[in-house]
Amino acid sequence: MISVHLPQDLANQYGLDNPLQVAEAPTVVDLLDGLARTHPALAARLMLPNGSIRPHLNLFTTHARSPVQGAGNADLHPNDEVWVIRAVSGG
Amino acid sequence: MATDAIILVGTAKGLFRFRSQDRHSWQQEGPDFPEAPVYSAIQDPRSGMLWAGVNSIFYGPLIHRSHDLGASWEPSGEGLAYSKDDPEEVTRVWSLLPGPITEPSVLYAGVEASGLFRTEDGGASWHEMPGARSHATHDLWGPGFGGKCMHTVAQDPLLAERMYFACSTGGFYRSDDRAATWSAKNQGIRADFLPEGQQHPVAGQCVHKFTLSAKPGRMYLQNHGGVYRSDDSGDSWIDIGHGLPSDFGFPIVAHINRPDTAYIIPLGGDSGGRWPPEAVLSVYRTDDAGGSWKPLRRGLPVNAFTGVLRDAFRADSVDPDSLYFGTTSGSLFASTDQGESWQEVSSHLPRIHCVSTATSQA
Repeated sequence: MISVHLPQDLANQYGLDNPLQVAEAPTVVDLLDGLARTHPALAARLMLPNGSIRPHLNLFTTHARSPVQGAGNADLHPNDEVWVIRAVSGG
Repeated sequence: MATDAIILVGTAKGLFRFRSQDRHSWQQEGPDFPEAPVYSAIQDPRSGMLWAGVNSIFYGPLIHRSHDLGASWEPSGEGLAYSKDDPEEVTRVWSLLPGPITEPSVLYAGVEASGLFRTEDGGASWHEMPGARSHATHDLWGPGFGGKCMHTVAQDPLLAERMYFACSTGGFYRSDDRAATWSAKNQGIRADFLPEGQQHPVAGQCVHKFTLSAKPGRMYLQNHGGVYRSDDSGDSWIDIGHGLPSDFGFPIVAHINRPDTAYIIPLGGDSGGRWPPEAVLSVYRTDDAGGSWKPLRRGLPVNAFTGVLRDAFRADSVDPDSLYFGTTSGSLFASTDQGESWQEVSSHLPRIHCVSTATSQA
C-alpha cells in the first residue's frame, strides 16, 4: 500500500482517513488514475480534467518533488508515501 | 417560534452569515470556507437548503449545500468541469438558481468560463447544458475584469420552459425550451465601448446584471454603461438611465412586489473611477419604471472610494421594505425602509462578492 497524505481540510470534507491508504502503483500518474476510479470526488479536487495536478497544489513522494503542475510521472515503490501540500498561495 | 432573517455574504475569504429577529440587530455567524472566494450563495425556497459556490484556489470550484442553515456543509457532487479536451476550463461558480417549483431536484449553476450546468438529482451530479456555449455568438464572448462569467441565470416565474442568462462580456440570452437552445436578446442595448457604428451588435454587450420584476415580462438591466428596461421578456430594451449622475454600475435590484420600483448604485465608470460619483455612496431608486431616479444617501458614507459588485446588492426575499448591499471595502449595509436610510451592519469584512437573504423557516 501507499500512504497519501492529504491536506487535512480536504480529508475532513470527504470524511477520509489521513493518510489515505491506496493500492500500489508504479508511478504517480498511475496512482492518480487509481484515485480517480476509487475516489472520483477527491481526485477532481486534486487534478484538472486533463489529469495534471491543480496549479496551487504541490506533490511530493518519498524520494522527490513532482514538477509544479506536472503530470507527476515519478516512480513509486511499495510502502512509499505521497504528500499533497497546498502551495503558499493563500493571498 | 420566531423566524430569523439571514443575510448571506460571500466574500473574497469565505461566506459570512448575519442573523436577526428584527432586521435591526444582527449577529454574525461563520465565516464558512474561510480561505475561499465565494461568488454565489442562496437559499432554495423550495427546500430551505442553502447552496454556496465555493471557488477554492487550491481545489477548484465546488458547490456546497447545507441542510442546517450553514451550521454544516457538504460537497454537492464531484464538481463542475468541462471535458478534458475542451479548450475552456471551469474556474469559478458565479450563480446558482433553483429550478421551477414543479421540479424540486433541479438547480442551475452559471460558471466561468461562461457556461451553464444543471443538476436533476438535487446536487448529486451536475452536467453542462451545452446549448449556451454552442450558441453561434459564443465567439463574441470575452472576459471582463471579473472574468468570462455567466453571472446571472433566471427562471421565468410563469413559464417553466423559459429561462434567461447574462454573461460578461456576451450579453443577454433567453431560452424557451428549458435551456436547450438560446436566443441573443440584446436589441436596444448599447455597447459604447465598441467602435462607433458597431455599438449595437447582436451579442457582445457587457451586461453587468439583470433582474426580473414583479410584473411578468418586465425586467431591468445594468449594462457596462447604460441602464435598461424590457417589457417583453427581453425582445427589446429601452434606455432608462437618463437623469442619473452616471449610468455605469454593476448591480440592479427590483422591488419584490412593485414592478415600477428598482434600485441601482451608480459608479463613476470607465472615466470616473470605480467608486460613486463625487465619492458619495448613493443608492438610486425609481418608482416609475425608470422615468425618474431619486438619490438615497441617509446613513451612507461620503469620501467613499469603494464599489459594489454585481451580486452584492439584493432585496430581502420576504420583507418588501428591506434591502442589503456590500462593498468592495468590506462594509455591509441594510435598509428597512426601501432605501430611504441605511445602517452599517458590519465593516472590515473581506471584499464582498455577493449578498442574498434567507430565513430560518423557509
